[in-house]
Amino acid sequence: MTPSDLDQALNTLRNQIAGGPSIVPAVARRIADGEPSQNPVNMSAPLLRRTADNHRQQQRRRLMRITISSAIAACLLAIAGLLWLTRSDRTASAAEALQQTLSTTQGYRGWVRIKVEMQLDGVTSLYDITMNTENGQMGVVSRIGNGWRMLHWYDPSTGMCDLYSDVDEHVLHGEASGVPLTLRFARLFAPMTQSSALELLGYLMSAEHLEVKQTPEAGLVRFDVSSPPNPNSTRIVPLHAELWVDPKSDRVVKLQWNYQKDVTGDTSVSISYGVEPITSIFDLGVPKRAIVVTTKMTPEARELVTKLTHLMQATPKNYVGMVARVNAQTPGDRSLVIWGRAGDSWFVRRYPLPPQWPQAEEVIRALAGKPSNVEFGDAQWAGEGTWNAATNDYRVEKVPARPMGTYNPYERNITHAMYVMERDLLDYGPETTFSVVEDASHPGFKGLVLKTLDTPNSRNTTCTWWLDPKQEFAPAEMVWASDQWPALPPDSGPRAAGIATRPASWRHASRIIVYHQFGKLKDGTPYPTSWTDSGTDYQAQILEDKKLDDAWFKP
Amino acid sequence: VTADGELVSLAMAGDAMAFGQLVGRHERSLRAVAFYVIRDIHLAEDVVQDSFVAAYGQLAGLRNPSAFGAWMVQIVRRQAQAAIGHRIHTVPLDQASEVPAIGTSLDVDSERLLAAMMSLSEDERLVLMLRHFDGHEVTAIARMTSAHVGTVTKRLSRAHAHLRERLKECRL
Repeated sequence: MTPSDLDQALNTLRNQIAGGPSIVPAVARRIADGEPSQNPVNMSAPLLRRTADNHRQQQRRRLMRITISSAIAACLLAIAGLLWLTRSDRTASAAEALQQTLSTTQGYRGWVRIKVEMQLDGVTSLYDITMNTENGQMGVVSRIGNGWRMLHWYDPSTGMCDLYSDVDEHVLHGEASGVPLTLRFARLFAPMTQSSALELLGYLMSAEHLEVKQTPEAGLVRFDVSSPPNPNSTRIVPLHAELWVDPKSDRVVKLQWNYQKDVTGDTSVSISYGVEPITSIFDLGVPKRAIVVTTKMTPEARELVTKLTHLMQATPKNYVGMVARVNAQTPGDRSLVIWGRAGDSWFVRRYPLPPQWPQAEEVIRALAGKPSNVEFGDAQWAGEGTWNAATNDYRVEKVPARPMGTYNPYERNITHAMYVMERDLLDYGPETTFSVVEDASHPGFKGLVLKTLDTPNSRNTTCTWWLDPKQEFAPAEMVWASDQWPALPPDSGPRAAGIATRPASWRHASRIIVYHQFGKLKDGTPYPTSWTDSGTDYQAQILEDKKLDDAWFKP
Repeated sequence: VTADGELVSLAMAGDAMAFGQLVGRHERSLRAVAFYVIRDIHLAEDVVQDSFVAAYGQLAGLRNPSAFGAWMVQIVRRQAQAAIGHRIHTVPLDQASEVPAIGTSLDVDSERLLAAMMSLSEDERLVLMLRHFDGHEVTAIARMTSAHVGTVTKRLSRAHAHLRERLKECRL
């Protein structure tokens, strides 16, 4: 064998048994997560001496370099100090400085790791998010209480998602309806703006009596944000939040806050920038021995899902619609919800239902200027309905405008109420399998069956949509059933207790929606005008190109 | 290139990046070691990952930080032996068709080469694997192992010669 042959053979062997991606990210993550329990700094005395000797040698070698560079560093420090002073003079307030910092943070592009620890009512939830704010790739490791660890990997470029849990060491690989949203989530730096955390900070930032204090702390800049409690508010908001900013990058590196009212506990977030990229779910710590199970749709199922999704999103750019709801079994359980959309602006308002089934034009005339009890809108405001359990009273608490980028955009459309856009129906992930069936009791119809596999945090459900090929595949019936709650770890603590107290009717639930009549939009897309959802009757109307006064789109 | 011993010292002082460098420079050699014991590529990777995590907690027990590579080989071998007892995992019947095949076999030539490599002396095997599996230059290997370039070159040359001899014996 020639040296060249040997070199080639070694190269082949290397590719066969030692190729593939590096394990450095996985090892780094495990160590950062506290593995192993024994810390390396727990050293014996001789080793400590050797380490100290090593460090002394390294310091001697570096001394010359440090001496030379220290003069430059001193100059830089002086310049930085001047800049800081200049900036302080220029900055009108600590609040404005914080706004600028939040904007800089949100503008960062690259790999970011965000670790969130939430303690609420004695239960600790951990979320470890590593995301690329450029392309939306995102890995999430989560654990609620002592429950199973869940790992997600989202890749917007393929629309695929991987899901792993410690329950059975399976990686589920399949489509997920929410994957495209991760790109938007990442670009908005969503944990900084959208999670309950800083969305509420945004609320505080716009509050009338907000106080922002800025002080140096251990090489960082600390911002204390506080707002006096609002005795009339029924919303849960933090009264105090602290942020620490790296003055070199002007980006937030850590924040924490605590809640008011009857929710106890703190939340803390740490953010690292320019972290090791993640390329697959295995980089998040999934063992390579894990079994990969694909749940990708068949072409036939994909076609039906596409058609159904189209129906659920198909609303005109400009319209006014209403859905009236009557629950005959519960007196007083009647409501009327009005949707309005004019280009990018939209609103949803809910009112008591008049005694008779209303006509849209009459309702609009009658309700103009009247207060609603729940309202939402985009572009200008986002109201939020609250419910007082003691008085059974719904009312609106106005919330200043805030980004709504990661909210499901379908929820802004009236079709959300018609097709009940919920996770169990067509908000699917890799834990969902799809199949197409036919049944003699539904002659001429196509059945699209969505079934969720075991996952730690969801019920096992089966949902069947019976679609009518003669009506643009509009659904004639939807049957949903939940059969059981999957296994929980033995020491799940409060979470297990909470689940155990759920009524059997929750764990073994079913829901049947029968669509009676359909109308058509101008482009021929059908939409339901009458349906029954598990005993509650609904009627709907859509007025295309109907434009309401601007007042309807404002709080 | 920083010497392994220096990186070990930095890691013990709490520098996780230094330990990351150690992982990166030795991981592929160690995958081969683990594979030789356990005969499963994916399990081998898990074993190496577990070994590095375990090693991080045991750095205090490493008497000669310069010998990090050889020390890791011992840890990986132990972990691989232990993992053999846990390698069986079951697959639900209805999902069996979805489970991808796990490649555990090598062709005859690669099997022979791997066996010959594992029969080399510790010093020769270490430089051979750092060169061919982890892709380091001779000068870098010398810095890592705190040895002279000449020593590394000789060891590498001897390792090649021994490999060729043993492969020739196999063919006879």
